[in-house]
Amino acid sequence: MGRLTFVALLLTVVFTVSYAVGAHIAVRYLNPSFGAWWNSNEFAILECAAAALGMLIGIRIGARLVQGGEVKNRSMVAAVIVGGLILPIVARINAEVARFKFTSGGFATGWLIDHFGYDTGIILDKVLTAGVYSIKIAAFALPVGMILFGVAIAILMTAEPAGDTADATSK
Amino acid sequence: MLSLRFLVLFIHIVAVIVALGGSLFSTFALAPVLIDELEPPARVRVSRRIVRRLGAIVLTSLAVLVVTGILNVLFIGGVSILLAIKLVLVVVVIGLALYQYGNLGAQIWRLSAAGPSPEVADLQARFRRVGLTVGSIVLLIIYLSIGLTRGSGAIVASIR
Repeated sequence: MGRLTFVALLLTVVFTVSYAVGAHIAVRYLNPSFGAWWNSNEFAILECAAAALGMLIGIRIGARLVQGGEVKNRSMVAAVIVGGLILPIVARINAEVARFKFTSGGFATGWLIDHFGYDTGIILDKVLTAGVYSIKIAAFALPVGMILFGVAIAILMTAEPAGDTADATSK
Repeated sequence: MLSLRFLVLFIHIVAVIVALGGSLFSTFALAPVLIDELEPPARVRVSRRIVRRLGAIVLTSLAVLVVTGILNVLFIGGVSILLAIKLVLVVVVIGLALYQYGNLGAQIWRLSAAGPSPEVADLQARFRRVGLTVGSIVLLIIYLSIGLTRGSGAIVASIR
């Protein structure tokens, strides 16, 4: 689970920075066909990786709130499998929602150019914009991950044998 | 009147009613009656099963709430600070519900298998307190939702 989260985090960071600074040009320089593939898919990978990261963090937070045991582990596995299956849908919807602006926006560009100069400021602004976009996708995916785990544990707990108290109390 | 947006909103509201109504019924109607009418062994036997069933119902309702809530944001077409606060509260509610049913509920389930005990009574009291906290936060979320759609700073008016 930890490795999966690390991979999702790594992919999110790499593809966010790559998309922001146009790193596909460097990849094209080394391998033109792979660079072209990178350029056409990096945004989709960014969205999917950010959504996966949010869901995995949500599943892990959910698991921490629940008492340990076999049911908890099975619930985590079930939530990860279902999360993987619905990842394209969650990524698509969350990417749409993440495009909505929270404020009137646009104030960071001027501040960054003032402090770091025009060339660096513009690049930092692109990194910031792509970073905020990724964080928003992950943030919207977090409750989805938590509740996936919640439903999984609820189903598995209910399916467990009742272990009735009748015998214990009659004794 | 009959649109996908309306249907999603309807399911969203029904999910709130089911989640909140179930918890309130259990806390204020069922629990006092069980205490008055049943002997401790029978009461523990009934309430441990209720904890599980209610957990499944509440957590499933919360799942429906999250899915329809995200779709609602898509339909509204904007995210305000008020909505961001609401989303944070939703995460808190999911966390508390998981703690209530997955942690306290699981402990009640495990300990009550041996019959009534002081530990089970303590856990049941904590279970009710967490349930009331969840209910209060859900009511706050409902108030924020009314502010989002009906208040002076309604999101649709501020975005468009």
